Amino acid sequence: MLNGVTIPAGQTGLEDIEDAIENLFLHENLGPFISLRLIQRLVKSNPSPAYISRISAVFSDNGEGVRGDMAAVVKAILLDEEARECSYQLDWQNSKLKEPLLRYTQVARLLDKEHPSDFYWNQSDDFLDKAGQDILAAPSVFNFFQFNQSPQGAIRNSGLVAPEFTLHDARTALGYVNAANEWTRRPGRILEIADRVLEQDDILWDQSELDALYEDGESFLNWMDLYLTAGRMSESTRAAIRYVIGEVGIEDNYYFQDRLWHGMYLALISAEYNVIR
Amino acid sequence: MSLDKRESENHEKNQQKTIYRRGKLCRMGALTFLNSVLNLKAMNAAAISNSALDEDYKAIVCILKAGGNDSFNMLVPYDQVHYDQYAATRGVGNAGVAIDRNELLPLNYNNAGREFAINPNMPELQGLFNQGKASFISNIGTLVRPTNSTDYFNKYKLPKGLYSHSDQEQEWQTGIPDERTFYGWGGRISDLLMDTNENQAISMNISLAGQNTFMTGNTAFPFAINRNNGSEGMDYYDPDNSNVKMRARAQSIDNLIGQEYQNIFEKTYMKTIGSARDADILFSAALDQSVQFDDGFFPDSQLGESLEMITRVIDVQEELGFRRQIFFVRIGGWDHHSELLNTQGAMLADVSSCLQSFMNGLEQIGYEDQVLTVNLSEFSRTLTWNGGGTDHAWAGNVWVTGGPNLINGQQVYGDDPSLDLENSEQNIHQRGRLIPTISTDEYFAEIAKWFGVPDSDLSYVLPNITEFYDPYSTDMPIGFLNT
Repeated sequence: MLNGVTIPAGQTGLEDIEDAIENLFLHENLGPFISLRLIQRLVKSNPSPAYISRISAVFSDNGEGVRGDMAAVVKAILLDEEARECSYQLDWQNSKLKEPLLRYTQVARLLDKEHPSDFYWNQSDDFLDKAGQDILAAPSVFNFFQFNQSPQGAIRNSGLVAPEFTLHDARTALGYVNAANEWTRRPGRILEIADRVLEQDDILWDQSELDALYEDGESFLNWMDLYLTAGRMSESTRAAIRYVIGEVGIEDNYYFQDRLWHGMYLALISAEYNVIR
Repeated sequence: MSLDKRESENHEKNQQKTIYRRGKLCRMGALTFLNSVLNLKAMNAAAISNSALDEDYKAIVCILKAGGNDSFNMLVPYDQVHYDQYAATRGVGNAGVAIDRNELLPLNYNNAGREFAINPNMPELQGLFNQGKASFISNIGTLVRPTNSTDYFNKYKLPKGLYSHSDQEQEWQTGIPDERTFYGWGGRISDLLMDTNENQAISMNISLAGQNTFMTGNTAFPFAINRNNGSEGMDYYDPDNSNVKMRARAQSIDNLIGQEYQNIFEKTYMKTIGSARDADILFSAALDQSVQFDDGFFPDSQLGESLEMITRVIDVQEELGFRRQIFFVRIGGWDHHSELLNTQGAMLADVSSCLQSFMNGLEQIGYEDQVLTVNLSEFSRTLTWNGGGTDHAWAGNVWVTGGPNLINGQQVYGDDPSLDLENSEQNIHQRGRLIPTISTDEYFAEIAKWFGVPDSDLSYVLPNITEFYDPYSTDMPIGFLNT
């Protein structure tokens, strides 16, 4: 086996399998490998070698002599300076694309829901197909993202990878954009299936928190910046949303609906919502 | 023209194009934009060439069976001597995965006593073969250079990651088995030939499988469409809407797409959205003009629906302004470690009926001699079974289909390997893994030459080709194409 290890003869099959897994578990490449993959999923696409090395050290030894303590590994990844320090946020290449499922769950959890029978059910099949991330049905055993995906243009020219861009092509990019339109055009549409199956009322967002904000466009913008773009909404994105909110004047009887529809739609398709820094 | 020069000219052209499109789009509605592009296309068409576009048109349709098709149960030795070796190695009845000789579908082919049959679930492919519209290539796989068993055991210049799905599936797409790269041979062909298309607003590489390595070149990239609806458009984007709120919304979308992003992930995210929106306007308008097929003309499967969409796109190639197009479909589920016979049988049945429907569709629109359909799969499987299915191996068999004037049909190309494991020069494993005798390079080079890649650029598409073939040769590397 790897590293010249020999499994003793005469064991049971299960013992052989356990020894083989142990041999892989002890291989010196496992720590860096799993550290890179987890950092890419949780924080950024292109971690520095030093970051990988720090996490890999925690994988080897959690401080109490235990190898493979995954809770300690994840904690170290999220608390690392490269995940926390503001200077990294301003670095133009220090990012990852948010995967479609997370774009969906963030919206689904944004507000409380209301339904007469308290019946809640995700209606995500259509979205996940359009966005290319059919959960539990990845196109290969290697899951959705090609580890070396490097989209054409600035990312590839910089010699960087961006695995999540595997799911960002002409079809899936607009598949997401159009889903964001449906979510905001009929707020709560993401949780609609109970209606179809049980012939009950739609599940809707509880908008009481927003009702107080719609009238003042800036307050609504600030709320979206806080909950959707983590305070990173750029001035130009803000200006684009402000413009459409302004055109939906409050003398309009449906202004609260249309400010939500057009305003939050733009926030959801904005680069700041979809790219994690 | 050197590649560097070509790239920089393309780059300049793209920049001009972007500026033109962005400027126009902000001021004009979608339809106005479409008309102006179509007019420009018509002017270009008149200036570029007097020859009828449709006579010069060529397309490659590439179907990847992902997971490793057990292709020694797709193409099976049929003469008694070689069938007996096959049956002894694969195991008959309840003791293996050999298909009973009486069930096989014989091919109308005899090469000095060697005969072949195909899987009982593929009667349509048998028919295509016997009509000269299909051929097989036998014992093909990834190679860095011609390799024998001594090389193999010395690990001399072998493909990276043999027997590994991820590596081999990539290498069949990259055509560079000694490197791990994300540039594909289809993409590099497009790098060279994209200028021959009048339409530069939409990629010549149309993917039914999203992003993929195969179609990604240095400048080329895939345009991903949906097998049911074609290209995805941007809903509720309507700069000409009479409602001021909808016009403001369109303006704000334009502003989001058009703004300068410092962060290159944000820039790339938004650029894809903008170019997809613009491409859809052209693509959908053309697809609306395409032939429509009745329900049932194509099988109701992923592959059937994909091939129906491809036929419709080919039908409007002139409206779209393409002389060269590449299509890519990926069908998964071929990793039959267990339950090989029944599961694979149903999947081969689908492939077979889809290929027949596709040929019927191409004949109906008159493109059967301009559209080449080829089959990739990362590896075939061990010749012996594991008690249920078969495991990862190396060389396998592929089919190609096309009209009778396009391909040299009714042939089995390649050295038919002996399946008698004890005495096979190709066998390198007790479970039966065969070294390829035809390289994927030769397969891809033949396709590239037919498609119009100049001899001098063949090494750009396939960096290792001279290990197997002289790019300047007047003979084709394998000979399945009728040139």
